[in-house]
Amino acid sequence: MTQDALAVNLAGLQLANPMIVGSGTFGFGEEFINISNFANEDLGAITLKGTTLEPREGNKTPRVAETPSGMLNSIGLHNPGVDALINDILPRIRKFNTRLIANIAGGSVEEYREVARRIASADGIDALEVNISCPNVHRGGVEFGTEPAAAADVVGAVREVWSKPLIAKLTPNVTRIATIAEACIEAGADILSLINTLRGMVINTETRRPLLGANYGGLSGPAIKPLAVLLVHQTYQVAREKNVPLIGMGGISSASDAIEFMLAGASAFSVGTSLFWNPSVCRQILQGLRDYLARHGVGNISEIVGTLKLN
Amino acid sequence: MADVARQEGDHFTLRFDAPEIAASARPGQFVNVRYPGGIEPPAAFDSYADLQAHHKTHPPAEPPFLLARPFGVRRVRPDGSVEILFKAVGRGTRLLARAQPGTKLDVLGPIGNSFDLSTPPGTAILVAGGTGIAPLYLLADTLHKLGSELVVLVGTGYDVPMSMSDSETVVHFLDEEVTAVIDEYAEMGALVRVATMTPRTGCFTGTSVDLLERYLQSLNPKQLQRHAIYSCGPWAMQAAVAKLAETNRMQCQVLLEERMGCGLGACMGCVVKVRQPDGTFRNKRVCVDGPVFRADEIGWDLRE
Repeated sequence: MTQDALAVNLAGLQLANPMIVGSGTFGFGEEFINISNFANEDLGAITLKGTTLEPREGNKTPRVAETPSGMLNSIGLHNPGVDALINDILPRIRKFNTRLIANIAGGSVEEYREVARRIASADGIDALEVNISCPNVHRGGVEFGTEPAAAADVVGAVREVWSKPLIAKLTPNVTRIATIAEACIEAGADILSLINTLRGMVINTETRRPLLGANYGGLSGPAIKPLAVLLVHQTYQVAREKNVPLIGMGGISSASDAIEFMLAGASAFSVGTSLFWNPSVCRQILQGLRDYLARHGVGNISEIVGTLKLN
Repeated sequence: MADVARQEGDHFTLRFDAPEIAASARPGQFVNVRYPGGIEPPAAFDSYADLQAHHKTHPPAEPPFLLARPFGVRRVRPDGSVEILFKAVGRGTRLLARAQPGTKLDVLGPIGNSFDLSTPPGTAILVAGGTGIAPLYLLADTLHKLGSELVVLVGTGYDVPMSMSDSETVVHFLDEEVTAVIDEYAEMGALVRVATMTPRTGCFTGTSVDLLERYLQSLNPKQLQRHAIYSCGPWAMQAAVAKLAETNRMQCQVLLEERMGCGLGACMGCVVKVRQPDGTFRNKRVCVDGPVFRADEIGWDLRE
């Protein structure tokens, strides 16, 4: 089987394979370099840590807690700011033989636009993911992702200054995700990615206090996978009509998990939390995808997208 | 391959084969250990009593945990094995305590920076709180080989997770009944004393910080100069150690712990405030920017 069996094209974003690493789970692409059984070149793309206009120190600790089959986090967009990304980090990571997706966040429409404008003026970022779904910051983030008009404002503002593929990352913390999806597409999003984390909380019963320093956090990991698959399935119903591809994510820790997302309608998928407990997961998934294609006689993986048959 | 031995109380030592880690681990570095074990196969029982009897030897299975747990490397052996020491306090450590010979573990390491030993002191004071003693063995061994004299001051609740003996020598800074020593450090020729919160024969009643304070008070300024402090334990204890080091103008390195997500520097979960050259404090990752820091660069009062 050739490499081309896994090659995918997402609205002009050409990937060697559909496997991406999710924002916030992979730093700025340099942290896994020395891990055995892992290579950045195995990835279709790397999504960088959420970046804001100014550096942010993030939330107080503890920032992470394990939950049944999952993990709760409240990092709070801890990042060095867009100028450090462009001047210090990008020159080092540009050379990776994979695609780079920047993930941007802001407290106002204007901030999103400015971060996007600065990244557009630099060289090396292949696509921009607009984070309108971070649950861990007070201003911005998820506020923009739960109101269709606000989501459209942010996506529209970034669209004005960014000509390459534009991804809107959707939150699951809404009543009807398709409504937000439609608003983002209308405003100019080329690709939708979903889902971001679900809001959650863990309480220490002895101290009667939340375990996380910031009280609430975002839930990720295998625990959220069935919900994520359903939301991809629902979003696909509206996105397919507009020819907008989806990047599915939420608890993927095996090739079979990834294939579930693709059958439900995702053209690509992201691995995240599972990297923390199994850095070999990406290699295992790639092999599993190849095995699946061979077993089902499929020439290119894109052919399985949305081929779910409902009972 | 895993080999678990129960120490006093809920403390356990866990040894596993990891030749690459054993060959390269430096004092202060840690390993990410995950017990990938699944759920026990279902068994049928004729009566509830049979089930209860079964559970006496086979405790009910707990779901496997997802995230690896970080443990300081306690010791490495020429046979390629690595040893950690921990207290079973939560689900992850309880499961690890149940590992059997032959159990396969996911282990990643060695991770993090290590103690700066570029200028070994005349005398190294190792201060430990609780299981903070674990990673200090490799440090003591290394400092010993570098020619430093060792003073090891350990504080625990009551249970001491290492074998102890009664020493015949009385140390100058403590009452004469405080004679208990930890064997493995005594064998290196270290001056060792143990503090327990709950009174225990041969041990000082108090904390490791109390022990340190007494020891430092017994030194004259010239003696102080040739000492340096290395510390590992809970945050409040290390903050107090840092304060004593500052007061006495001593070099002090601390090994910190924090709840971690990935242990690889990617998730930004395990941060601590560290003073920058311009005097401001910034969040740094304990896992890869640490876990060892200079005590005087930590924002001890800035932890919210």
